[in-house]
Amino acid sequence: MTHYWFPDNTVLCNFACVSRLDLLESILRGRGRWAEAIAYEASRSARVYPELNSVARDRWLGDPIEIDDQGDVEQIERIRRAAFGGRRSELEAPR
Amino acid sequence: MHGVTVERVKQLITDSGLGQAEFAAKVGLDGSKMSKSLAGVRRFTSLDLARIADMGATTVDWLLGADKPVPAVAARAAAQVATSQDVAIEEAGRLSQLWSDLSYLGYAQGRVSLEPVPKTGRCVDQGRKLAAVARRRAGDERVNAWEVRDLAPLVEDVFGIDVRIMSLPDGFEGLSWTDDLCGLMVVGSSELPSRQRFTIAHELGHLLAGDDQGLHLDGSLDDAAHKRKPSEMRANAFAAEFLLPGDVLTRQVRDMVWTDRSFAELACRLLVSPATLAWRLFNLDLIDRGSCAAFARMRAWDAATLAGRTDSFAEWVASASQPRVPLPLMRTMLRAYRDGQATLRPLAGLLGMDTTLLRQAMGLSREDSPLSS
Repeated sequence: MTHYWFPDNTVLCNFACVSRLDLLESILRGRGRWAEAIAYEASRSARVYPELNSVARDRWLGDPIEIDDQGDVEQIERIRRAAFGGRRSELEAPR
Repeated sequence: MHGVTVERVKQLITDSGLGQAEFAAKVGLDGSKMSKSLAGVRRFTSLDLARIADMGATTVDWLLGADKPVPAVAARAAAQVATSQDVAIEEAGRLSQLWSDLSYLGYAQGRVSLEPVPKTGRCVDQGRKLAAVARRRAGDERVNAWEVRDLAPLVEDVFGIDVRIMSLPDGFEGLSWTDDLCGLMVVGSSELPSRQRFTIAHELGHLLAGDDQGLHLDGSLDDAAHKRKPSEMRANAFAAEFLLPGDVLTRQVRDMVWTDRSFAELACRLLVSPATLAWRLFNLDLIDRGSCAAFARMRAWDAATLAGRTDSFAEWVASASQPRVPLPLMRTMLRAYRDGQATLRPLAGLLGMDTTLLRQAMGLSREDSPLSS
């Protein structure tokens, strides 16, 4: 089974801005999932594209996947920076 | 989740001056979830930690206790005005983090190991011996430091050490940084190019000598107390011998008739300041103290004028005044992108460019010709 993986909510926004989230839903056919960070991002983008609220409401991406294993969280931070150019905090960590 | 994470989240809540429930609300976390997480019943998720880190102006790595060691001086309160030293340290931390992240993707810096020089005897002699080793290594690559104006690419290509040049306006000269994954220096851009060149050689001396694991600061190479430290004397002796080897200099001044002009021409040819050349010649017994004092007063611009080299000197000043990113880091990021391991964003971040513009510059998006019809 093919899984579709989106690193951010750009795809959701693109479909929402032309009011065709239904098309994305039909393409994914229940194979789409989202992590909680993307769900959070979509909730913020819903201020611009209110239709995004329907993704969470209608649950066609399922419950957001929560990642709480320390090793996994560390890997997410690494990938966020190394592959996607995410920045460290602008301020040094307090001591 | 580690106890350290709970302790650090508690510390951020305390530092924020907010109550636990209020803090939780601000980071979008349900109050009962926050209570359970702080009690160790529930683990913080990656999103919780990202939002808590944002709120507390820190990093997820710090919350996890997985942060790289950062020099103590870098931890000054954010409210203080950042000095050039703070800026340089922060930059060193950023660059080392980039190497650490590249290492995670499977890429290494490619730092060169030299044969060790025993740290016995006079530190000045150690510096000279180290310079001889470095000179042989450069010779293997068919380059001689005393003939190369821009040392940064030489240091990177021959020794595998990154050189970052950036604006450090309040006179901070440079620092070196080394850890398990990288060696690098951060040096100030300068309108005194021969001084910047000497600083690069000096920092190279520290790095090759393995003076410090972590951070080594050189606020001012002129500071009297700083200059007397054994590691500084070694680094200065290294730089002097690396840039102006005794045998090379002796050969060059054989049969020299010393005039202001001949001295100025030599300083320009060897790419060092008149003062540095004068003292080096004196220390090698090639000129007397009186000549040293007289020549050391000559300014770099005057030397360039006397030698008829004002054009090339002006161009060097302009070049040394510019910031520069480390090329090995840039090349490795580019390779990671081409290998499909990373997006263009890390490279764009290093270059301080917008990703779309970088994509355009790399010819990855269509470029119309003015000649097209």
